[in-house]
Amino acid sequence: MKNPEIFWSGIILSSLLCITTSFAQNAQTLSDAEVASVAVVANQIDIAYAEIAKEKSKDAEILKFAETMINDHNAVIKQASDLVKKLGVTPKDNDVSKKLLSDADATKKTLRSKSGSEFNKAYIDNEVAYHKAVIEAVEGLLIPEAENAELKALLQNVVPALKTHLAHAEMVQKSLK
Amino acid sequence: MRVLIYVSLLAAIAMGCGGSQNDPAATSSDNVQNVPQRHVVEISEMKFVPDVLNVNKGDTIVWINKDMVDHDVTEEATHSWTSSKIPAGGSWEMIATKSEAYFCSLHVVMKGKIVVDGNEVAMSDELPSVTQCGAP
Repeated sequence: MKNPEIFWSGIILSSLLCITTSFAQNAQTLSDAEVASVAVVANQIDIAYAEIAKEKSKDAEILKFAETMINDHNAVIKQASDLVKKLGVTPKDNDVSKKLLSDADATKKTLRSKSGSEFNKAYIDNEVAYHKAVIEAVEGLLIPEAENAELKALLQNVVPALKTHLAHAEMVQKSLK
Repeated sequence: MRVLIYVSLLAAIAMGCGGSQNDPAATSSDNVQNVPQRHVVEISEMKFVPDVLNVNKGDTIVWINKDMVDHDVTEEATHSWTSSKIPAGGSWEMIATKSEAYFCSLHVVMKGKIVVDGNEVAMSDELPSVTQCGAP
């Protein structure tokens, strides 16, 4: 594979775009309980990737980035959990969250098969691609689907953090080349 | 004639009062310039607002974290000082002594600058190195 980032982006983006397009074509809608579930799952997946990075990498930049991902995504999950509790909503599994989880299992397997600089590159390439895809999904699917104003506002507040993570990942990616 | 004297007297008193009010005001303004000021930088939507802050030496700068994630404020060039983690809703302050560029070591793309007494300092576009930060 000449350009792994294109490989990762292709898998993740096509997966999320598939889901978004499928929803539009079938005129399906996500309830707030389902939107909350997708938001929590998307954060949990990036924490899982970061935990693998902490196990496998010795690179200071990668470890620092992974630590930030764990802290920030846990903070977002806490905000989301507090909000759904306040609203009396229970996050509900759905096609989008299930697809995200099954794709993440495949990615985790691939990441675990690599080591050293090959792992560092695969991890940060995946982080760049994943954050691009999640930003697109949050802005293009979750925010429009969210009905409750506080849930919508929470999702809107998360976007700047996701964009900062993407810029940070791109800086680390550049420094590894 | 009596009326004219009375009006003149009132005018003189009024002018006198005006003068006595103006002088202390000028003195007060001079004092304000010398008294250290307090400036606030909000950390909001993953940005330092304002990102460039003009202050006088001895002024206090307060960073308030209004985001949902932790941040810090760390001197950029040599990491000579850091706030350590500022939790969501928390704040940290320091007294400005010289012009310095700073960043958030947790989110390295977040950068800011303190300009003391108009002395500019450059901000780096590079990825800051990951090293232990000094004590605040």
